[in-house]
Amino acid sequence: MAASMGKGGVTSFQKKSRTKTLQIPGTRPSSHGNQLLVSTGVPSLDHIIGGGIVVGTVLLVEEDSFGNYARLLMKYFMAEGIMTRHPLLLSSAELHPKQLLRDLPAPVSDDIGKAALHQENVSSEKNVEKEATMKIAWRYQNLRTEQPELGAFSQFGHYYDLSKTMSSEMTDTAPSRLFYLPDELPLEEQGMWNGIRNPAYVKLLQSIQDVVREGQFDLTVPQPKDMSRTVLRIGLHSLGSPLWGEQDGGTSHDTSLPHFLHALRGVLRTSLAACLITIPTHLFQDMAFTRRLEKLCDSVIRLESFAGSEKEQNPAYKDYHGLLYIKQLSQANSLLSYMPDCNDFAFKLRRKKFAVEKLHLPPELQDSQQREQDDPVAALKTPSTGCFSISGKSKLDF
Amino acid sequence: MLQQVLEGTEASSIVVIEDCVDHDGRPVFHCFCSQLAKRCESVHLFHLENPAGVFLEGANISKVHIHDGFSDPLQWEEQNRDPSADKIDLVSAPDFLGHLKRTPVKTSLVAVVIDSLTPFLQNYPGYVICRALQRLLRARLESDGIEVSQVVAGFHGDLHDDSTAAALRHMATTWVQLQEGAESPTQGGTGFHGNCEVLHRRKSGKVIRQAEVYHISPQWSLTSRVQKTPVRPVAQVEQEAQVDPTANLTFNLRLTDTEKEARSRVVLPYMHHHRKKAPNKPAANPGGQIFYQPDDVDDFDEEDPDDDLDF
Repeated sequence: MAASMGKGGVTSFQKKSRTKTLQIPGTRPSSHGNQLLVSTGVPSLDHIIGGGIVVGTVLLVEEDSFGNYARLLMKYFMAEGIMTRHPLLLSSAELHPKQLLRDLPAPVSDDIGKAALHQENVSSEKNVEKEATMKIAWRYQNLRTEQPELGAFSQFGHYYDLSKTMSSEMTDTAPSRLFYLPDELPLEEQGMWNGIRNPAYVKLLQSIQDVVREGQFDLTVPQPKDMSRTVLRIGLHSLGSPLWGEQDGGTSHDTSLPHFLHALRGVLRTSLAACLITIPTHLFQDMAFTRRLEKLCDSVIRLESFAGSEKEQNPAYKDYHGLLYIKQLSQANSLLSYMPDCNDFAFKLRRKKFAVEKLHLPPELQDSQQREQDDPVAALKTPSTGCFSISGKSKLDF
Repeated sequence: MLQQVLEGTEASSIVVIEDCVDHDGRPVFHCFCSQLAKRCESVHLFHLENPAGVFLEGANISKVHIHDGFSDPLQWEEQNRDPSADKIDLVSAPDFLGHLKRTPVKTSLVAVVIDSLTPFLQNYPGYVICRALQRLLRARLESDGIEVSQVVAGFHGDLHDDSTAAALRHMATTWVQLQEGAESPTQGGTGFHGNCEVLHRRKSGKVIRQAEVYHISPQWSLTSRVQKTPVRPVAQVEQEAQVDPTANLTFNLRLTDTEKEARSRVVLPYMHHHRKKAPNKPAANPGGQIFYQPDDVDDFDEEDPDDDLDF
């Protein structure tokens, strides 16, 4: 089905099913199941997690030590939401969400031109009255009248230019709800909190539920058939940092954050929303706590940046800025998740683009050491997981 | 880097100085106090571990507002329980911004120096202090006029566990970890010197980690320079003696210099062949031209045989 797809997800081929498949701009059906995907904003990342974030699931990004790249991923996610006209919900405790939104990467210029063109078409189309039901060509009734072949709004996965920021009229006119923790939490609850549940997470969950209900993203509530539906993008930046009231790095038996994630997944499963959460898990001392959080989210990736660490000098890594580990992929409504073909990914941040690539070890460096223990490149050739891997140092090799 | 942060050339909103048992952080702290008193319009000093006089030696005292947490932090004495007295008490949660707001003279650019965070961290979890520090930085949005340009806090690395240190490190833009240090007695008085490691995060996202050596003069001015790590002698890979194929032969395979030059001048076949035939033609566009050298037996007839055709 994916092969016959046009550029924008508008296809004449429709699966014979009783419910009409939702046609939402900016999403596309997954090739693995009957699921809708939204783009994260970085096409290379979309590719390795199986096409995009499944609508109704949570993508957890475990932050790198200084949080720079996780913030960048959040900005890409929000920028993609603006380009595809999905409403946004952005929450943050440290940076004001407005500051994050002011600094989004600008889309590559030809997309803007198409977007402007499409906007004009859409406004003129509104004046045309609804077409009468077709009598002869009734099979085509459900197709949209305009063919947004070139429209930016129905395209999946845009390219952005990091050296420029998105224009303020695009960010200001985008429907968004910002949650800045110091503003939302009353002053007396901003110090120490006692009790079972962290009030910050309770407030955040309430506001997410409110937005889902008011914006009519809830799938359990029946909506009129011809209403255009769209997907809500929820971005929770740096959840679980000390400013959210997370104490002792997970060693205290505080279940507020797992409880929040569980409730969040419950809300998302029955609504048209996709969520990107970044958590600084390097602050958690207890690995088991991190594992619990991972199990409570659908897809998990971890970023490890080389900045300020000794890996920066490793010649094998000199082209890249960090490593990306896929810890878990979403298994919503299916028996098996998407299996990527390799598990070593690295990312690099060039001046204009952030890209995720397969980690290629460089060929033998000229000044490789005599002893293989000293060679940094050979040390990285860890045996890949799998039954038929050939480990390099087996005594049976000849 | 330490000197640049001190002088203000590198902007840093939260500076944390982590000291240890071997190396006391008070001299560095003192330098920060005196520099900030010169640079900013007012300095608020929250001292909990040392009397204020220790840090104010040689600084402009009129600009410094002292918040006393040293004399009676737990408020045992009756007269200190009056909330109008500007004393820090550890009974209630730390509220640095509240203390700032209570000072009568409000100036616009304020620096806050906290000696140290340990008494707070011993009574409250790490996140409370992180939130209080963040409120300080957001002061501009909350209150009228006060803007905190820099917060300098002391932290004792030996007294707190890793998770607290990690939480504070996550918040701090500059983290100075003092490693070894000693007094250096000079003629004018006692100076100090030591090693430290500075981890600085710039607003652009760049992270700089440097090992530095600093010196403090008796007048409390600090100079620092990057310490070059001693280059570890690279294990010299002994070049295997390249086997010389021209040695040990019964005949001579070596070339003298003139012979090498002559060799480079030899014209190889199929190389610029056309130059010999037409030396005055420029070798322009050699790829697209056809050069036909007719042999002797070629019958090169200019006539076009198609002219015979007659329909």
